[in-house]
Amino acid sequence: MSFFQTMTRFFKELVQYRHYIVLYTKFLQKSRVSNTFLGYIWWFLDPLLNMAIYIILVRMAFNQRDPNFPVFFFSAMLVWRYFSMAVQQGAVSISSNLSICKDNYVPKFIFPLTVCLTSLTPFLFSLIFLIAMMFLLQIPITINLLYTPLLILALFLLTWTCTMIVAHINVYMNDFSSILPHLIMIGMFATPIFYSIDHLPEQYQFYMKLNPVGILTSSFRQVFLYGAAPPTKRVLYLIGITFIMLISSVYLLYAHDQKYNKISR
Amino acid sequence: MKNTKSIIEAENISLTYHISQSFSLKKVFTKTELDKEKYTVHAVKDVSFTLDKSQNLGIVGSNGSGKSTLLRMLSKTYAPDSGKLLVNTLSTQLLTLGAGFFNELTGRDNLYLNALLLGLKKEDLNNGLADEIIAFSELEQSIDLPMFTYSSGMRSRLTFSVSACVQPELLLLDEVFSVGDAHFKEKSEKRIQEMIKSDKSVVMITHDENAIEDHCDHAMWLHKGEMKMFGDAKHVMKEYLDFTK
Repeated sequence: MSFFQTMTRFFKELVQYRHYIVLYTKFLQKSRVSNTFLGYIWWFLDPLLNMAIYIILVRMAFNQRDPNFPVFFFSAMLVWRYFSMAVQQGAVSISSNLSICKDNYVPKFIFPLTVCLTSLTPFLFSLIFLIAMMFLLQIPITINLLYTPLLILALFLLTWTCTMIVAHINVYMNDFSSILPHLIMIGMFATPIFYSIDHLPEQYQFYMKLNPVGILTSSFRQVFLYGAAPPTKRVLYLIGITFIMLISSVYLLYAHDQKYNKISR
Repeated sequence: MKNTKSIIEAENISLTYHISQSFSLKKVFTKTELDKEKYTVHAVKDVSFTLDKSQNLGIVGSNGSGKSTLLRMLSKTYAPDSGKLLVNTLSTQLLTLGAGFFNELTGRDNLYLNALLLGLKKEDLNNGLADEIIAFSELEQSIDLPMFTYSSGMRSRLTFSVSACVQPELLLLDEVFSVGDAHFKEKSEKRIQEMIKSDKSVVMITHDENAIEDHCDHAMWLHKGEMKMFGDAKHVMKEYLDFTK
């Protein structure tokens, strides 16, 4: 398949299956809360508890005196939480849905996509809490906040492509789901969440700046805490790398579409 | 499309299943070579045939002769490892009863998901098609209950009712001719007969020789993955029955 064919097929199927994607996402959200006592309250309780625990613990552990530390920390943490949760939950998204695809064709990118869409809800609640916290700490709200939708879109696309790649590997290697939590742990410390890049020794800074998730955490921090525009060059680099990854992962899933079902397990 | 008359063109298609092996220290130390043949299954070997539009094909063969694998290749969920396979239509449907359900969701939710996946339109579903499907399945009482409360008979009723609404150009039947209890059996059988008799192409797997002789123009006899015979339905069935006796 040529590049052009792949992309037209991708957009065509995205349109063709749009109702299915929306419905599946809705039902995924429904089924996640359907067996819980508190139901939909979890959508906002979960980020709230997460924020409270981290901020109290981290504040004590790091003995932070900076009054803006909650915003410094949470503006980066919510990005990482969205990314890591979606990737972890999406790891089995293709392999566990193969029974649906056994008899009739379903584009496989749908399953990682729905996981990423479902996780957006708690993420958006986290953003609301972040803004509430900014009011509490009297951090000025600037025009640069308008960059947020762009940053969310970049985060969403990056997470989607990473989930596709992880879900693809997991079909062939069941062990991968055991390695993944450790990789995510490494990723968490390699991403500026608890610290900011300029706190690091200078010789490592360049490499740390290449981490696409790190660019997003730094950009969210720039926009929310410092009221500044995100770093232009790095955001352009992020957009470029996201598109390259997105195209290659879509290509990868198409190339293996008819091979997944044959895997013995 | 070079040949618009035919709906399926298959040329020497083969498919092999590989059984994956876990890493084992014993094998490393004893240096035992993996017996590759032991861990592969040649499900379909070198099958060639063409089927014209609006013709029906019946596939016969003993269990494990590659019939279902061949059907899944036609429905494009498996790709042949070698050979050329052309299916000259985008609307194919493999009718099975093993559709994936979400147990926590209600029957109605599952109906919508299933129907959208099979290519039915959301507008049509909202404008009465969904009600029609529910009425056909006769599950009005329990359609809004979660799926885990359904019996296996009720599940197959629901899947059947959804799939029977789709009108593909190429219908693939894997031993599905009737489902459910005596009452629903009759109803579903009638529906299937209608689908077979329409001018659409049908490829069916069955162990019922009468069904093939009645409905099919051609028949294919598969034996251990190889095509033993392909041709006129009556002729192939006669040879096949002589062989199995």
